[in-house]
Amino acid sequence: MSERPESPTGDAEPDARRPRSVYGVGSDPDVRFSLANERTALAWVRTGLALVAGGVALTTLAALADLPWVIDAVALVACLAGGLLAASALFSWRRAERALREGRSLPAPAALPWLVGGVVVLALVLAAYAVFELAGDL
Amino acid sequence: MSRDPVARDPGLQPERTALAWQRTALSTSMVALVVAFACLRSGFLIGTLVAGAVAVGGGVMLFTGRGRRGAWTPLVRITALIIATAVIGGVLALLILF
Repeated sequence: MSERPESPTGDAEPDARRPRSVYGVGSDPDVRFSLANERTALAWVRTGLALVAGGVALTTLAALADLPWVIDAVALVACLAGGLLAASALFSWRRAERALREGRSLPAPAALPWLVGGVVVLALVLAAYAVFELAGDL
Repeated sequence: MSRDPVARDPGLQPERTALAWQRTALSTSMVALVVAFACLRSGFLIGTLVAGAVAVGGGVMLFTGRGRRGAWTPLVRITALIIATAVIGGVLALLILF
């Protein structure tokens, strides 16, 4: 490990970066790749945050306008899914950084199918609910 | 410390990463403030306190940024802040649901 030419911290001081499960393996990749990985993780974190914000907005709207309980349940699920998505960003950052350091190919995005599936299910549930309500009014 | 390998990156990757950190911290702070006011409206004062603390934490991260010790620690911090916001938002939804 001593002959790493691209070490950003210089060659004298020991590598104190954490976690060791990431920085203890392989060698430093091009810094731009690490930065891109970091920005990807941040984008996922912001996606989760947007879900939380949407859930809170729906909750507030449901309390103000006395909406049916389905809206409130959707808001609850959105909040929890946002928290889960933020946590998954952390783990996918770690997987991708390990793959970068070991020169392996990058893992597939694990959260993406879940996010897409969740949005599709949400759309179907809300559409079915809207049709149900309309049919009840007629 | 004599040489920064990305000091002259024409793609401006360090700047873009710093901006990504800034907008993430700013969004976290703003969402936490919204949650705090929503909790205040519903009389959920513990939620207001926690969300206010999250907003302050997001504000601190906005100014400290990423630091130079790698991305892991600030990523864990921002994720913890967002999970706290999500839990408070979920409890608020449950309170209004029942």
